[in-house]
Amino acid sequence: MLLSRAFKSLLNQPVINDIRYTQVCFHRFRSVPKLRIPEWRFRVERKIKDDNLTSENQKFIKEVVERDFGKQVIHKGVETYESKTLLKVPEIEPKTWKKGTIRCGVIAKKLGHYPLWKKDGTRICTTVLQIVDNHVIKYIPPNEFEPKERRPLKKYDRKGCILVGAESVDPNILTANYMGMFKGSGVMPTKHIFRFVVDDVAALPPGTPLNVSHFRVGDHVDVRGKTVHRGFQGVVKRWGFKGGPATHGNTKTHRRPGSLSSGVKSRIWKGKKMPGDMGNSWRILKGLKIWRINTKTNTMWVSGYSIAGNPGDLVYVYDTILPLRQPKEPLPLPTFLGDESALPEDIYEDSIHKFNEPSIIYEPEK
Amino acid sequence: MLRKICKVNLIQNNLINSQYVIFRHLSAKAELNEAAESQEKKKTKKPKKALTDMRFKYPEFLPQPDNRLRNPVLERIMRKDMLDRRTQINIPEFYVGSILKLTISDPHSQGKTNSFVGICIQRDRTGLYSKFALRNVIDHQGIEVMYDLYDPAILKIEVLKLEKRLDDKLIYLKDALPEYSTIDVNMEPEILAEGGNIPVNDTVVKMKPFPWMQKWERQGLKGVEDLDKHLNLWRKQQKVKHDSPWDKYDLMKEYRKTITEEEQSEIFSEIFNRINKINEQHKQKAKAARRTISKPQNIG
Amino acid sequence: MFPSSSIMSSLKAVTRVSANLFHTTAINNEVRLLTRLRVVDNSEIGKRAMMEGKPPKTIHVYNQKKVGFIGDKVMVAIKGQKKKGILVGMKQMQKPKTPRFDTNNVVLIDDNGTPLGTRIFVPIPTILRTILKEKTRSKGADYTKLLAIASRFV
Repeated sequence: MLLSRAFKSLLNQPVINDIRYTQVCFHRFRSVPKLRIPEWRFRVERKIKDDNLTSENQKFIKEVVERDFGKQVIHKGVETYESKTLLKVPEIEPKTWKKGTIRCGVIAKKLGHYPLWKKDGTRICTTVLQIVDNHVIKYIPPNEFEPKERRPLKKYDRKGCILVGAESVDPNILTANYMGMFKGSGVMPTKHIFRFVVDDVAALPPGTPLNVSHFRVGDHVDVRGKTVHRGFQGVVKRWGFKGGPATHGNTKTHRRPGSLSSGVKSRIWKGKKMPGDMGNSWRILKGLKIWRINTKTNTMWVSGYSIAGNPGDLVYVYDTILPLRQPKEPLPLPTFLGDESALPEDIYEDSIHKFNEPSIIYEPEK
Repeated sequence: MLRKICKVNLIQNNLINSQYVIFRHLSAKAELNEAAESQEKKKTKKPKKALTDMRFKYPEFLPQPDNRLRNPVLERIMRKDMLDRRTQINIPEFYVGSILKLTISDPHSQGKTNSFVGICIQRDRTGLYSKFALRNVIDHQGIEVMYDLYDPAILKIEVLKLEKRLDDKLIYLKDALPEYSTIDVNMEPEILAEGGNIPVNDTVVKMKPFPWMQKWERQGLKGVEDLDKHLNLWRKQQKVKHDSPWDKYDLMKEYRKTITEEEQSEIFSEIFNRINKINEQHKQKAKAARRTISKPQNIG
Repeated sequence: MFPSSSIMSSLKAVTRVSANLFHTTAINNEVRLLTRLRVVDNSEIGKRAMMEGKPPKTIHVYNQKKVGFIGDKVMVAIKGQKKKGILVGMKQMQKPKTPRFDTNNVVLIDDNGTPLGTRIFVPIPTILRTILKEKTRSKGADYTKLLAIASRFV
């Protein structure tokens, strides 16, 4: 009787359904490389303490943010806020582009891979980049812009600088110093911010949006991104050494580098390839062709699978500097100033087969 | 909070290329108490059967299940492009084991078109990457060809015989006797009654002697004869060693390969109207073509 | 059952002989040095080598990579002689729309490119048309004669 009563009391207890917190351990074997903040930027996120706010107070804070900046919306496939505080951009005069003038770049997100077919039947590999709600924050003219990390340029060769922000964010999580960078620009504080060095001709007033129409189909771009972090790796994976044989009396030298230097030299050369931290470094892929543009979602199709980073990571897109892949027609300077709503939704390169076209048929031989 | 994120990251191990399991629905919601469950049932409706059955017919519309590589914006564009391609060509319902006839435009051949008849031995990948392989034995020579399903060079896909097999992949036909994969090139299509169930062909295949391409005895195949008579003692021992009979009880392993029921109904309700419209257009086109053929005119 | 039982019986004989009597390399998907090939034309020497269960070995691949791809020229050791041949069907993975065969097939040719046999028994891929046309030079060997004796294209 007692036993059965105890059993029944067990049954009546509330069942715990949430099993998400069980058996999870997280070992950090080695320290993550130090986050280096560039000189021109402040720390973005503040240290978030648990303030134990009531739900009413949280609601009140949300109301204040919505009152000042606008509501949360999805703009061209990106979660942002309504740009309520944007200043009215004065009308920009279009200027003529010459060979060698450097325009502003763009902050984009790597979405993933995508196959496209040409009209002659060959398949090409492309990567899709989405431009994530970019706005110009500030323009620094050449006489004020003196970056410390570069060697001083000559006066006539000096360049200005444009600060561009992407993806506006809830300002509660940001530091006060970082918020100060947006003062007077009218742009809502953004999650990401980047600096593009430009010519004085390509200056842009604060508040101007940057979209895909900044680029054209058929032109070439350079894409800069951070490579995937592999951690501390040996010499076989990091530098592609051959390693040692697996058998034939071999012990403990299967994946080792071998000798480091000669006996005559009796020291190690500088820059010797050794084990160490792999990845997590900036790399630029140059001269990638733009095959397709979607103006509705702000996306563009760029050739190649090997753009640095995982899908979802940020990349920076510029006009190419390669001399043989310069555009034949002049680029829109400082940006595309026409009506964006008048553009078609999908713009393809001439040699690409559109998906709503009939299937490929080859002409018979004569 | 951190622990939650950790768990999601720990889950995903090398499941990028593996095919998803589509035969069972797994819901993302946790089980509720009885009292809460009855309330929940009133609020949420179960998705309709017509929507949920589309996962067999159009498996390539489900994205690949690895969350790290997924993006909702990209998937929506891809689905639109796939439907655009389907307006130009009728891509019929077919499964692994059914017999297809494919005509493509080929720049290398003399008439600039080429055709191939064979059994579908596998279907892989999703989206615009989805591909399938056909196999046939012509002049005592086994031949396999791989095709992209959304390749614009494909002119026509005909299903000569619609049926399923016991296994998900029939790659083992390479090492089976050639009679199991020989198909007449001039085969005529067999027409099934509409609305009926798709028949399952339960032939059991006999294998050639060694050497084999893969270790078939470890894969738990159903459509193959008892393989123990081919094996020596060493290989039998290895089979037992590498066996993992507990895999079928591993619900998490299955869950990682699935796309949840709620997400599936969201995807298919998006394409439901347009894909039905496209299918009707292709039916009408086929009817019109049949009429013209059935009235031959004798001249003179 | 399978209609031509003679081929099956010969295949069994090949395996039995090869397992016991002499040393053979395993069937390789790639065509490298010393891989065994299958002669698919009706040349005298090729027929006899296949019937005896001593298929030819590759000695050299006329190629920068030293791995044979479709349409490449190879040198072959067959019945104690050196002959040249062209790879006509491959077992390794192919690009989409090009067929993949169950065996590595070869057709024996002369120095001028004329095939030793008069017929090819198995189908050959259509992509060989463009590959062989590109490889023929005006004063060199003419490989397109091989296409004339093919029975069927895939």
